Amino acid sequence: MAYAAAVFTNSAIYIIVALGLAILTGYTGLFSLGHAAFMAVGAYVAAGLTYFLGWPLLPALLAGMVAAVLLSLVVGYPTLRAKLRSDYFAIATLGFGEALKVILENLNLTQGARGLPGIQKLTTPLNAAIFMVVTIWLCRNLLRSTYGRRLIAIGQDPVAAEMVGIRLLPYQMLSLAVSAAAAGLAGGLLAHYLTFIQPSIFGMDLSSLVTAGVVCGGMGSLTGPVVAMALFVVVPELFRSLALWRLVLYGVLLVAIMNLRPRGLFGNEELSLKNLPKLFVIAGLTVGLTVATSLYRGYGPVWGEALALLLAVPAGAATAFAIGLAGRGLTWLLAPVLPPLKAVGSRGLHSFVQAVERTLASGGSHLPRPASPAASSVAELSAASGATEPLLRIRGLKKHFGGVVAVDGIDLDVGTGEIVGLIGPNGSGKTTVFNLASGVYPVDSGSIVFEGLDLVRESPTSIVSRGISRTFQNIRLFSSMTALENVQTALHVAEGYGLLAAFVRWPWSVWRTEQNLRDLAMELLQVVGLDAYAPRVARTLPYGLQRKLEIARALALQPKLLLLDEPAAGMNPQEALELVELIRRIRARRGIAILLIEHHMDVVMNLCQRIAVLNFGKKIAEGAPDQIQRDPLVLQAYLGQETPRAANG
Amino acid sequence: MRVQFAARLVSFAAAVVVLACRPGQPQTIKIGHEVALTGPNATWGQSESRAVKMAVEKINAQGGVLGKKLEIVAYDNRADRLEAVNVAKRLVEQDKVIAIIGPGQSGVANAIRETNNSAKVPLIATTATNPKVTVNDDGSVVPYTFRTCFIDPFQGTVAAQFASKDLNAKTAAVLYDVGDEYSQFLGKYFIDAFQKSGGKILTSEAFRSGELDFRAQLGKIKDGNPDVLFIPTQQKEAALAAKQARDLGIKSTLMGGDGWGSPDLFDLAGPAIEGSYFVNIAALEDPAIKDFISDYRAQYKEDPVLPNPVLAYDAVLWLSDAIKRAGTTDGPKLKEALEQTKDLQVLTGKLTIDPASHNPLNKPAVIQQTKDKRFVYVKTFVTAD
Amino acid sequence: MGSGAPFRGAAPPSPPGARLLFQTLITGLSIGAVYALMAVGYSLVFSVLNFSNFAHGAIITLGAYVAWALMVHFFHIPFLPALLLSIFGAGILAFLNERIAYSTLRRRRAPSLYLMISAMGAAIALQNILYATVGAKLYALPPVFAQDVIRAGGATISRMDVFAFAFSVVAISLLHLLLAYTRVGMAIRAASHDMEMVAVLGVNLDVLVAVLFFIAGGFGGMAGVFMGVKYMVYPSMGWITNKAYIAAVIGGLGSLPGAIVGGMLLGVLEALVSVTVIGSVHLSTYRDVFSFGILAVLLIVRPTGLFGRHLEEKL
Repeated sequence: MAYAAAVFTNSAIYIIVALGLAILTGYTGLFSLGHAAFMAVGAYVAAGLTYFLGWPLLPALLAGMVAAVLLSLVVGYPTLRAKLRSDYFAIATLGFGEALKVILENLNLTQGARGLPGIQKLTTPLNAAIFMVVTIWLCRNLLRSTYGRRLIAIGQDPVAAEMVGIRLLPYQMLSLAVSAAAAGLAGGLLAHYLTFIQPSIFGMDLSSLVTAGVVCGGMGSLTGPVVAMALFVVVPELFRSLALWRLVLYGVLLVAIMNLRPRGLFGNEELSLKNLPKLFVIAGLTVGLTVATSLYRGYGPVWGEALALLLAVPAGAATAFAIGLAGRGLTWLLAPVLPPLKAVGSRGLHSFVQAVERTLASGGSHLPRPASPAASSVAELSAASGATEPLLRIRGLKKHFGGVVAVDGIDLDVGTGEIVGLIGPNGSGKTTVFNLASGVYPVDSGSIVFEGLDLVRESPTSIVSRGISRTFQNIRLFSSMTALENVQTALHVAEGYGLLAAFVRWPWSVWRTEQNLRDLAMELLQVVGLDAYAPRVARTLPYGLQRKLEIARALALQPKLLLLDEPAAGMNPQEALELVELIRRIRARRGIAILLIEHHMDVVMNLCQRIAVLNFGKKIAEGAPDQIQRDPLVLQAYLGQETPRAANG
Repeated sequence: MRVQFAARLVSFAAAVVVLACRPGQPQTIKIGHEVALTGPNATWGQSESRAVKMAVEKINAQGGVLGKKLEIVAYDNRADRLEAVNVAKRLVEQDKVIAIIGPGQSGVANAIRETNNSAKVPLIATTATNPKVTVNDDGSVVPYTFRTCFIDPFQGTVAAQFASKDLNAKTAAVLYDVGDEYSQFLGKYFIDAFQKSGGKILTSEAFRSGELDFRAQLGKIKDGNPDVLFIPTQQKEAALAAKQARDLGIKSTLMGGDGWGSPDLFDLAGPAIEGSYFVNIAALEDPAIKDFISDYRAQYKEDPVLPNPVLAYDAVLWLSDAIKRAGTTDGPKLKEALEQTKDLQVLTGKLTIDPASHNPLNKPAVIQQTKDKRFVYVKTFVTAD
Repeated sequence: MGSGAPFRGAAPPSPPGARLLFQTLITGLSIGAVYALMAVGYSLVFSVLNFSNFAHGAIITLGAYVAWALMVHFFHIPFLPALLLSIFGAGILAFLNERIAYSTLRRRRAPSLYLMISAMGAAIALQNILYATVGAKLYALPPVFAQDVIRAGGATISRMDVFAFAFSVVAISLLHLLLAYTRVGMAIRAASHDMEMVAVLGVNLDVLVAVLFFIAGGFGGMAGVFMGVKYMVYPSMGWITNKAYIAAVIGGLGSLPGAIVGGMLLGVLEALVSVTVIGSVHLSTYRDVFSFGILAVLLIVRPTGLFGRHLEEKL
């Protein structure tokens, strides 16, 4: 049984690393090629403290984690700062891993490359299990918090994340730090389990093993990597003679999964009643395999290989089948029971929390509910409309890409609460204007003045904070998040909660804020009419509804100016009409100015007070809708050379 | 469908029943073997494995030990320390061996020290020559680790004395691997001994395990034009260093330690290694092991890759003798019996163990020369002080 | 533990003399040439497809093994034909690697994360297939020029190094001519600016990518054979490409002159570091820390490298 305990401890340790890496790669989309280096740091620091200074295990592990986190910041900051491509990050982690190995090999204190034997065996199956469970719990809490949502948003679409006001650098570094902490913890536990560490343990083989576990388990899930890592530790133990092929298998799996089934075993799903049978099937197959191989090994030499095989295979199959069946049975049993149980449980917990709150807050120190962005003051609108200065004032805007001039000296104004249309043939520079105004591209020359402030050298997130938000031509939602979560990522309420509170899901701050966010997000979904779809995953929504969701998300930012990029694209006339109504409603209730790029002429003509027409990067006409409809330059731009009919005014 | 299901359930139940009453195991004495069967040390490891089998077959043919047959449980550790630790754990916990033979590398022996010592399973290393394998820094002995070979301070001294007396070298340089404690310490012992003999060390340069290009370091060595260049590494690095040294026009005589003694040294180094010298534990021409060599040649149709097989054979002989004297395979009693070995006739002479260091006393060393793609015996050194 | 001071240099620290400096420079250039060759193959693919082919190291290793199979194991083909065959073989292997591991992802416009993971998977699989089949035994390719060395200005360099250098120069010049003056080259250069446009204009992207990988693989095979002759052939020799990636970043990802300059620069700097002694510490053992340090500094100061382009993503 000592052997089984050892395999279990090993699995628990690798699962802890895999959880951290799942957050970094699976959720935030950063590829680390040398993650074993963080394990090395944790291992050496923790082992050094227990070995040389006689520290107890827990503080030593914590010190190891802190060291790993600090080093991750050293690696992360230069590479992530300049928003470089992820290739740079991967290469940097690779280089860091190598450099760290060299430093450790030269470190005489820990006997360099020959390694440090004689570390106390302080890791037991029990404390490894406890650490594993705690790590799972902490990671899960992080992912369900505002921090987690932002990490996931960045992983899904960094550009959209910035457009929603999420600064990339701090969150990517948070993700990196969390994954480094997990790796550091696992490294420390590994050192006190192996009782011997040397730099070469923490090489590419280890990094590849953990990466394979995360990828095969499913990027975007915690359950998946846990299950996959366990498999990757247990199954090779059964096939020791094929040890050399183990790494080949990992490599092949990585290629195969990326090409054939990128979502891996569990995709985005966590453990739930729905995939409980799947879990049991996997467990059953593993146990069956174990039974078969141990029978084969035990009886092979005694009864002969053929006979042993004859016994082993059906026995294994039977075990697998039985466990799979048990899974289905369990699911069937739990199905009616679990949802009401969960509801009762959460209600009970909530009442408990509220009761405590009431007793504590008897002094009346309740935090006030923040103003909902939905219930805005029409009074504000009226006050603002007294302003004479236009809200947005673009002068002489120019942008070229290499030899192509996309925007060639454009002037444009948008007043408070106005709806202005921006039309023109494809390639006339409309989206580029949006991209310049929202900070995605740097401006070559010209000025973009918003409420008196020049936005030209501002970062996208600071432009968002000033009050401009936008949607995209080719919808950029966070596709694997639900509609509700998509909107929540954009809610930057003043009252948030700290990172520590997020990790432990401190009821008094986290629960309440989450409830608040849920309510606010639901309100916004109601505005666009999507409240019924709140729990639906964004990519499963029909196209037209996705567009509305994007608008809801943009509204969550409480903008003063909303840039809509072809919101009616792909809509049928009925949907287009609804969209017009929606936009009118939004403007009326919140006094938001809207700049609208659109090709649907009925939408444009119906909605806009003013229309500007672009062609080849220049503004060729501007005026009221009926003026524009008759302008010969506009017709020429859209239809080509003037036709004889156009001459009849 | 239901019939299928029932059949499966029945076979499952049968399996459980059968599992519960497993037949007993045959009666053997299990000895573990940590050996590098693949990887750069494979030439020695394969040879060692065969020699161990030969020794065990011979002993079993004569009735075994304490009435039982010896059984070898061998696993490939690839000379990788982590793998060796895993192997050691399996041998001790799963296969329940009563002793372990091997490994052949000092680094690996150090790595598994904790495993076999905490389980009180004696371990006899074959060619692990670093002193720390059996003796701690404070002078205390590692309770359950022994060895059958000489130690590196001796080897370094032999090399230095040969260089200064036989090769008349006045100056020397060293190129060592900072990632291998065998290399690091053997280099140090050579330097100490060479300086004591009146020689001058011009420079010593280091590289990291796994690196391939030492030309920058060799360029520095070439600058001083030493008489001897000592390269205390395994054969792979020695071959690379020799090639690159000759490429740079270094004319010094090249010397090394027992890490050179693998036949593939010639394939890897080509003509660059010709005319070099190295210290080894045993040589094919040694009359003492004549019988063993001819037996091995007869059975396997090729020469053994010395010195591992000879030392491993010795280890088996030593172990079985100790089991007989102890009358049991119990760990602590076996350890005492091993410690008290005196004048036991083994292949390489009479084996007497120093209980304070678990090292064999009076072990000889040989100098071999690389000539015409063969290892040629030059002379024997006896334990000097 | 930790006492028994490990062994440090016996010579007093001194600044390297001029002769040593020159020799070190020559050594550095010859190491750098290998780095440059590897970086060229990698950067070529990056410049067009915007993705890091982390399996490049495996192709280099396979090139060396092909040469070994031809020159030692199965046949005894002389060096020059074996070199050319290995280049060709490595090119084919790189093409196959692309088809199996990347082409589906490319067509699906999968995120670059998927491509990188697939590349790493291919690298691990290929390297360990070698371990599992041919084994971890080390092999040497037969010496080509015997022990002949060339002496110049007090420094020595082996004939093999000179040959490798000259051959690489010729190969890279041919590549430059191909890119600058042939239709294929023009298509590749155009594709490095805008893949989609090139497809729209009627170029068969599959063929283009196949040619691209074949060329990159060929350079990789070249590097592998030279490394095999200079050092030896073993399964994990591919990891030296880590240096190539760093060299490529130094020179600017996607730039071919950058790859060459970056490689040579890295080689020379590493050689200089390897002969430097500060106090009693041999910096030679910290060489890789130094390489990473250069990378880190560069990423802070000038992320696009020496010749890199600043790419803006089109939305």
